[in-house]
Amino acid sequence: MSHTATINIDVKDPQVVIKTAQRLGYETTEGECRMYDGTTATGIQVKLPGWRYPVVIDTDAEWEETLSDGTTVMRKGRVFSDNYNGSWGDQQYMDEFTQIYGVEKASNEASLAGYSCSESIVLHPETGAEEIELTINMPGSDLGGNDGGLNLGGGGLTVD
Amino acid sequence: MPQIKIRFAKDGSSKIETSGFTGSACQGASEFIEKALGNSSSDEKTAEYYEKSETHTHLSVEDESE
Repeated sequence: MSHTATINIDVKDPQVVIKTAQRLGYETTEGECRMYDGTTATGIQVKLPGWRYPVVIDTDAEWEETLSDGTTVMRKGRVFSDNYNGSWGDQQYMDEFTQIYGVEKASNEASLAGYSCSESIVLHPETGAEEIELTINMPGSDLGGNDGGLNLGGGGLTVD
Repeated sequence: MPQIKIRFAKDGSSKIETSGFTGSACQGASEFIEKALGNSSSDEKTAEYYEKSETHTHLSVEDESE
């Protein structure tokens, strides 16, 4: 292993949103939708099972998020939904949608870059919960370096 | 073979791991996927990351007082 990172998924690719809905068997439409609070949202509307109102995914929306450490990051793609803390729709369906969107988006990007990939169901090592693991094979991509790294030892200074 | 593994949990969270890369090559290799998916919220470099690649140049500064 070389490095690990946690990714906050932005639902920002309209084609992958449609593909995700098709994979999960959900209906989609496009256009403006009036939300319960009177606001309107425009984008791809997805009808999740048991949800009173469709979720609206604006793949063009750009917004700023402040992280717990105080730094801000620009994000793209915003999901508008009314599920009244679960009373009007089970959150797990939206979470599953995000999960499958991520799988489809990563597969798509790997394919576009010319890499093969495979999908499998694995269990989380601590919780035992099922997860989807996507493996992307990248032959010939291991030409690395430690540019700018400093190795101190033997009384000399070595710059790699 | 160098690989990128991404685990997608049912709660919508995801974690990316690279393996088989030497040195900093892993970060460049996975960057396209990380950017396509969203934002990286944390990053841990493992021992393999700090291994020397076979393709680098050495610059040595000797102590002239000796």
